[in-house]
Amino acid sequence: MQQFVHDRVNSTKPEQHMSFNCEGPANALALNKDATMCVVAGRTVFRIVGIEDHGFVDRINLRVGKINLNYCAADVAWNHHDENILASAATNGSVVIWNLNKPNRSKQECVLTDHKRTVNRVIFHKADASILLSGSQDGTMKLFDIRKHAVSLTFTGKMSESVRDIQFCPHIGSGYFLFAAAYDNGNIQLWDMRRQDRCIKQFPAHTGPAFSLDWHPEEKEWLATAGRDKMIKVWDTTQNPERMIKSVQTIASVARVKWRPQRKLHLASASLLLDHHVNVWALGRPYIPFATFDGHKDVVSSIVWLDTHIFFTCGKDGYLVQHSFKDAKRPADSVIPSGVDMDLFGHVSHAFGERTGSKKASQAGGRFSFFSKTPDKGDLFTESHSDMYVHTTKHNLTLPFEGFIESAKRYKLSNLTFDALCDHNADIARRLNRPKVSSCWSVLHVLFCNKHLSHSMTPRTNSIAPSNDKQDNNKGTGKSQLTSTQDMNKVNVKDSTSDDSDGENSELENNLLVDSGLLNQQTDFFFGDGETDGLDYDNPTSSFDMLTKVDDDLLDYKLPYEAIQVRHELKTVSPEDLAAGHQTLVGEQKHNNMTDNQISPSEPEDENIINIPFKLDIPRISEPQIVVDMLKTFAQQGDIQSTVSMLIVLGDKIRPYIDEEVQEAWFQSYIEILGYYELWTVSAEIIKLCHIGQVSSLNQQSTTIHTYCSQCSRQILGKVGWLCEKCKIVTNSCSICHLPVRHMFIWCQGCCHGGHIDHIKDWFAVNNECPTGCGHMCQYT
Amino acid sequence: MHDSYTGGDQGDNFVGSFPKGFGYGPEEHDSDIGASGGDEKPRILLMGLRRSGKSSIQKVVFHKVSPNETLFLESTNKIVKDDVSNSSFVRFQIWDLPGHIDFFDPTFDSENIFGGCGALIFVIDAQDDYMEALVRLHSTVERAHKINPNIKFEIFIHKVDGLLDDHKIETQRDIHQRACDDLEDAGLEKVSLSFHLTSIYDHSIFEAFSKVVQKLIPQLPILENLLNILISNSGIEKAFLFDVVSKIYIATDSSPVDMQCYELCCDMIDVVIDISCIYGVDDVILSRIRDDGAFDSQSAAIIKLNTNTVLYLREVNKYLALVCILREDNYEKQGLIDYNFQCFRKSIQEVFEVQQNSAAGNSNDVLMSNGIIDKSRLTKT
Repeated sequence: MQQFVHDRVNSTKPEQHMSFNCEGPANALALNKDATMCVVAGRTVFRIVGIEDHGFVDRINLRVGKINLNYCAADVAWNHHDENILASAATNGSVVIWNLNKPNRSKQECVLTDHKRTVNRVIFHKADASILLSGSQDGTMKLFDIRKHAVSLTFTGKMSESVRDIQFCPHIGSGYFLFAAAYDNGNIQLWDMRRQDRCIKQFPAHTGPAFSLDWHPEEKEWLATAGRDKMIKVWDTTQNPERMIKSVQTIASVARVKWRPQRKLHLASASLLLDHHVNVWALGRPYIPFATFDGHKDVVSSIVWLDTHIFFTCGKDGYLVQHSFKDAKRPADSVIPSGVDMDLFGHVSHAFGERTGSKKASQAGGRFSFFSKTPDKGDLFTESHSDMYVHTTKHNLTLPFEGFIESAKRYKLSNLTFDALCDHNADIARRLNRPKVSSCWSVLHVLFCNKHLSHSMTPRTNSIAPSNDKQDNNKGTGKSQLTSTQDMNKVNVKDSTSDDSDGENSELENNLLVDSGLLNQQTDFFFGDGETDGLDYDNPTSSFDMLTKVDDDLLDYKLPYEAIQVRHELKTVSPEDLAAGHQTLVGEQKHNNMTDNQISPSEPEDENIINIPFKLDIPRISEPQIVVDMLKTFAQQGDIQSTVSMLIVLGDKIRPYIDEEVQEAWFQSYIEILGYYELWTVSAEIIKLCHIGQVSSLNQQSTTIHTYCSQCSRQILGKVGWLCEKCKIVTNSCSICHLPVRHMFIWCQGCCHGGHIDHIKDWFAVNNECPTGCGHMCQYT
Repeated sequence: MHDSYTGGDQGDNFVGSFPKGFGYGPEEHDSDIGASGGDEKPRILLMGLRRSGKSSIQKVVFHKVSPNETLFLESTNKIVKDDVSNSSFVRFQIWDLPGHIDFFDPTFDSENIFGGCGALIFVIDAQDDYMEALVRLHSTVERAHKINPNIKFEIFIHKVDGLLDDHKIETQRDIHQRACDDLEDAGLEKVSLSFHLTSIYDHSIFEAFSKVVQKLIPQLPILENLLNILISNSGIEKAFLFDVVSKIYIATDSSPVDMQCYELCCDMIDVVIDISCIYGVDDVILSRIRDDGAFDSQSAAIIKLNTNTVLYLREVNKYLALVCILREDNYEKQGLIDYNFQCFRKSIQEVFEVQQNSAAGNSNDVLMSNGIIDKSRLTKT
């Protein structure tokens, strides 16, 4: 059917776009040996069209005489040797042989009605012109001898699936007897003509029906198949099992596929629906068609290559079209050749052609460290030049892997008092070298501990002990820790001032208020100091000591807040001492102010901390908002862990100030990340602690625990899980105390007796036998 | 003419190869074997390991259960015989066999079970380890084939919605290879297994069931030819003959089936049934909805889509509907299509009358096809 013109430069055919209206939807198309004529067949069309240099010429209309269903052709083939012999496959299951030499008007030579259902494909053998093979919907393939007008062989697959396409292997030497068939269930079978009973090979190629297949004209073992799953696949049939070499994903089900002659990796495809173009794919670049051809207003039903640059198509719109590569559209030219990918560690690579985007890249490269290489990618036709950049993130915004897991595991979020939780978590964060988070925890502690002092009864030692420790550490160790203790100090100062304002020490009150005003202004620098270095503390050693002392004093002094009975203790602290301490502190702050007032805070979290002293002037108004801002900042920085943990610990203190949806989003994303790191336990705990219905119900969905009665083995469906409604007995009572066990039930697998884990533990500490007296020697480990 | 359409003969040949009671068409069936009871109806057996999805398939296909609800199905403990013949044009029994009982226990009457069985669907859970299922499949096929060599084996590789595309092919290939190797080792090369990738969450289960049912319909070539004639003479793109209740297509024309077209047609049936349930039926609405009484001889629907496509639905008989997809341009000649449809409906009824007195069928069909062709030539030229 295909004629290859090898000398493409001196092609005798004019390379131009021609079209011809056949007046009816065409199903198939075949060329004669010399490519001077082609036959177009369809439901209502059967005509021979001459191919001239300037266009198509209508030659013979075969649909003449008494029209019957034999004229409705699903496929047509032209004999390679005898110019006058045609074969067509009719939708009613007959195969019709046409002889153009017949003198009558009707050229039908004979009708072979051996198939029971529609014949989908007829083909002539390339070498033996008398062999005609047909494949039908009824699942059989029949080999006709056109000299005898009879079936010589019938090939029946074991499956009774419909045959959609058949092709003889074009390689006369090794593949003389070989042909391939595509089935409606997506299987491809290879047959040997000499072996009628079974196929040589069979393999599933497509999910859903396979519609078309084509042997590669040069590579002997390559077979292209296409199907409803929108895939074109190229198979190496010699391998066992068959290996898929290439695949192309298209936008619609593929009805026909044809290799392009003399181009090893090019093939043309036509869609079953939607897409009215013919696409030529280069297998090396399977994402965008190498070339597309339009000209049809409906789907293309058949493709025949004349030579490398010209091919004919016919379509359901009734047009016969000659396409030449000159007219091809190249979709690849109009896209920007650029690719972006990101790896596990957040490195981004970006490759693009020279024409585009180089400015963009340099901008991006300014922030990240980047290196570039410029590989020469020889395109097929134009010389092109492309760059590839790999952007690596310098400071990792995302959490370090271990840190995240560690903190997820070690953070405590419930079952302790608020203060203890904050302290614990601050401690964890500090140990994991996350000073910011640590200080934030501390701040939270102080902020909310004070505010809700009436109901948060923190033991004094709890808060003092760590802060003293920290101060000791601070002298020697890094500045980061210093900041956190400074917070403590500073806030303690604040505490004391508010203490005083209670009127306990009226004589100090004015003084202190003044001081606090100063303090208010100076805190910026006070904090900024600590961040740069710890020198200022070491320098006036006495003042530092004093500070510590003040701290202690103040913390002592805090007690009256917590319990009224401590009033007595309050008296033991001398007011003078306290005042002196304050003054010293303020003085020291002034000193700091004078020495280091050029330093300003740089870290975003600082704002939160710095704002704290404002409480003195504007107490308790902006405070929740500050914390909300802080949580949001953490979330924005990707540290959702801190956000959610703090949110849980803060609980009702902060919840009303944040949008429910926002909170839910935080929880969801944290749970997702936990799932990603397979921290199921932590994830479950978070879900449990979450107050948002949608999140906390996550654990309840898709988790069903069925309980069964141990006596009657029926499922317990009642309200309580420990009473069988049928037997009216308590199913799992403790063997020792005879009360129902509602939590953890431990039982012996030998005698099935058991009970409360504590009771059982106690029992087996002393005894060996089962507590019920059943005589079983239970083993408790 | 006579060459072109030899449907009647083929139909007879097919009928001969099937059990006598294979009724097709409600009216004549009752008169034919009304007294003989359900046992003679060809059966489709659903088998497979437990939790492989057999009952879900049955519920989704024949009882309009939404796929999500099948999660709550209890496992089946006894053979559930589902007689779809009461509600559907296709008269079959679907036997849902529990997966976890030993089917070859001597207390089970396997002669009886496999004897009248037309097709055996073996469901394999593709998301699970399928080695055990393959062993079970092998023993089932061996046993069933010994009792009833005509039985058709259909393997549903089920729950593929959870697999990637590449993995689907690999799974199918692997199961296919192993199952066929096992059979060859046992000397059962002649037994053919058909494989289908199915999921209840899309239409693949309907399509697979359609193919199974089509294999059991002896008149399929005739129906297909009738549809071919109809679509070529009416300018229709694609035509399906639907069983309305189950949305299985019992025949289609010979052009390839595209999934979107099929889904579109299924949706259309839903729309038509729903609307006629609301507006189309008189007093006895509730009782009739249950067996889809809303669908009657006057049912017809035309839906024009904004893609220049027209969906055309007509009732063929109580349980069958013809659904066509055609271009708006071709729909201008609605009279022609309606007329052609009347011819088509008449001939389908004649096809099923053939079954009763097999001598009379041939000439009627040809007359019918004449009618269509003549008419179409009048209008097209």
